[in-house]
Amino acid sequence: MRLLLIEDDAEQARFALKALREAGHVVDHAADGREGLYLALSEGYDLCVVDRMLPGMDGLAIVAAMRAAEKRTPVIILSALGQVDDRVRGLKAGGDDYLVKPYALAELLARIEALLRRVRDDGQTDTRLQVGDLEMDRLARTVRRGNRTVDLKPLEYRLLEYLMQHAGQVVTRTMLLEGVWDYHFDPQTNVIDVHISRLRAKLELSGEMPLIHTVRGAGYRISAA
Amino acid sequence: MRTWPRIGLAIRLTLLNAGIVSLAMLAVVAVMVLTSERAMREHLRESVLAELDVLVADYAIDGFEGVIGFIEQREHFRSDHHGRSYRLEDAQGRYLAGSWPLWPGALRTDGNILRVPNDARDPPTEWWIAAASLPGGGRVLVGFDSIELNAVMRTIHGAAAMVLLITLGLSLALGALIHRAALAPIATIRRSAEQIIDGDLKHRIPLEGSGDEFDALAATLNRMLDRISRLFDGLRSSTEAIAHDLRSPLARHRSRLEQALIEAPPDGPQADWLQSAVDEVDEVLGTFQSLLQLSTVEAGAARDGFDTVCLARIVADAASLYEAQAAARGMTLACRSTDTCTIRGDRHLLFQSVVNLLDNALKYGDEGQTVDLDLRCADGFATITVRNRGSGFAEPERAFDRLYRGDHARSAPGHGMGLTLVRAIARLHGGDAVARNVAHGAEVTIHLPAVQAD
Repeated sequence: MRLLLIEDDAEQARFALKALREAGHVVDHAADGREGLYLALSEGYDLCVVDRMLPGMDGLAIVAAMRAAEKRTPVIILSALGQVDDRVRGLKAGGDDYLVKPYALAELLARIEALLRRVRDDGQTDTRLQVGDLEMDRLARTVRRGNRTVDLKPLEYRLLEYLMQHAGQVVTRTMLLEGVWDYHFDPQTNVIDVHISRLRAKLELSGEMPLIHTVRGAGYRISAA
Repeated sequence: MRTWPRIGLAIRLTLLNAGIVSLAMLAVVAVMVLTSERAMREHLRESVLAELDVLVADYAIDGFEGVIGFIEQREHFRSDHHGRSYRLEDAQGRYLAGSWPLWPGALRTDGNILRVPNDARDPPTEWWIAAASLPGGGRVLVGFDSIELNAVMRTIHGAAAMVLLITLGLSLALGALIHRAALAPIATIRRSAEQIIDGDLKHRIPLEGSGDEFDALAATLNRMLDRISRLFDGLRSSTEAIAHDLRSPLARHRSRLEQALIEAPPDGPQADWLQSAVDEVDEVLGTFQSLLQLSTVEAGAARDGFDTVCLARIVADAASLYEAQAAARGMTLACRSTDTCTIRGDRHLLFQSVVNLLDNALKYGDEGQTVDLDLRCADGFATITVRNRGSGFAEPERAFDRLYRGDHARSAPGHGMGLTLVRAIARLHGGDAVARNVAHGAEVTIHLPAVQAD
C-alpha cells in the first residue's frame, strides 16, 4: 500500500519508515505540515499518518484541509496529547483513528492494517466469518469449529468477532478494548489476556490446531496457520 | 459566637442596628411623653386655679349674681372633650348654683387640688377640683374633668407608638439594604472561591473599581491567587516538562529496542532481555502518562466534553472486563448494581476509575476471596463501592497521594497513580473518593452527583 507519513521528529520517522517499509508498504515522508498537505492532496495515497504537532501547520489543520478538499484518504493521527477530548477533537477534524505518542511500532502497524481493511470492506458486513475450520454465523450468532458447536458467552462472542473481522492481522490489546468494550484508555495490565486465554480454551481443544496466536510485544492474531 | 451559627452577618447587623436605633428612639419618645404629661397636668391644675381666681374676681365685681350667671354660662357649654362642674354656696352653706352635687368633705378652700374619680365616664376619668372662699362669706368650687388631659395624652401615646413603629420598620429596611449592599462583595468573593475550588484555577474575584475595603481585599486575594497559581503552574509544568521531555527520548529508546527485538532471533535469550527492557520502558512511560493524565484531569478541561452517561452500564462493563481476571486468581467478583444510574460525565474516565479500583482490589486482595463492586443511586448521589478481603491499606489516609505505594504494594506491579487518578476523576465530576479499612479488607467509595430521575 502507498502510505504518507507526516512527522517532524527525524528519528521517530526513521523507525516508523523502516517498520512500515518492512511491513511491505511504499512510504513517503514529509517533515513539515505544508509539504505534507501538498503531498496528501496531490498524490493518491491509501492512508496518511499525521503527527498533530508539526512545524508550519497543525496536524488537525492538515486533516481538516484534506477533508475540505474532498480527499477521503483515511488518516491516523499521532499525538502526544492522550486525553479523551483530544481524541474526540482529532476524530471530529476528520481523522479515522488516533494513536497516542509514544506508541509501539506494532500498535501503529496493527492500526494501519485495521484501518486499510475497514476502508476496503467499506459498507459491507460479512454475515459469515471464517478462519480455517472456524466459522461464525453473525445472523444466528453461532460459532462452529469443524463439526462441533462452540458455546460462547456474549462477551467471548464479541471478542472472537473482532478478532475474526481482522483475521490474519495483529490486533493489539488497546484495539480490543476499544473494539469490544468501546472505552479508550491504555489498560496497562494483562486484563485482556485472561479473556483471550478463556476464548482459546473453548476454541482450541486438545488436538486441534491453534487459531489465536500471541504476537510478542504487540497483541494477538487469529489465523489458520 | 457559636450561638449564631445559622444567621447571616447581614441579618445580625441589621437586627442589631434596628435594635439600637429603636431603643434610642424609645428613650427620646418616652422623655417627650413624660414631659408632655407633666406639662399637661400642670396646665390642668393651673386652669382650675385660674378659673377659681376668675370666679372670685367676678364675685368682687358683680356679687353672687355675677358668679351665678358665669357658672350657668360655663355649664351651658357641653362637649365630649370637656367637663366643667361648679358649686356656689353662700355664707350659711346653702346651695346657690352649679352642677356639683355635694361639697366633698375633704375639700379645703386653700387652693389645693383634690382629685375625685369620675365614674360617669367610660373609661373613668377624674375630677380635678379646687375651692376658694369668697370675701363676703360663702365658697365656690371649680371642677375640671381630666378627660381633656386624657384625650391629649392618648393622642400623644398614639403618635409615640406610631413614631416607634415607623422607626423600627425604617431602620430594619434601610439596615437590610445597606448591609446587603455592604456585604455583597463577600458573597462575590465566596462565589469566586467556590469556582476556584471546583477547578477553575484561572478564575479571579471581579473588582468593582470602587477602591473600598472590599475591593482592596479582593485585589489582595487575587494577588495571592496569582502567586499560588504561579507556584502551582511552576510545579506542574516542571512535573509535566520532566514527563514530557523524558518521554520523547524514552520513546525513541523503545523504538530502537522494538526494532532490535524484531531483528533478534525469536527464541534466543536476546529476545527475552529485549522484551524485558521494552516492558520496563513501558512501565516508566506508563507512569509519565499517568502523571500527565492526572494533571490534565485536575485542570478540569474535560468538563467541556461531559455528556449524560449511564453509570450502571459503565460499572457492568468494568465488571465484565475484570470478571475473568478475578476468576483467574481464584477470586469472585460480586457486582451489585442498580438498573439505571445517570450522571453527567466522561464515560472513558469513569470507566478507568472503576477499572483502577477493581485492579487494585484484585491485586491486593487475598486469593480465593470475594471482591464486591456495588453501585447505589439514591438521594441525588451515585455511590460506587469496591471492597476486597485482604490486609487492607497500610495508611488509608495516604492512599490517594500521588506516587504513594504502601509497603506491601512495592513488590507488586504499578506506579502508585491508580487511586490518585480515581480521586481526581471523582473530583472532576463534582464528587469525591474515600478510602478506609473495613473488617478483613479495604474499601474505596466514590461519590458522584447523579442526575435526578424525573
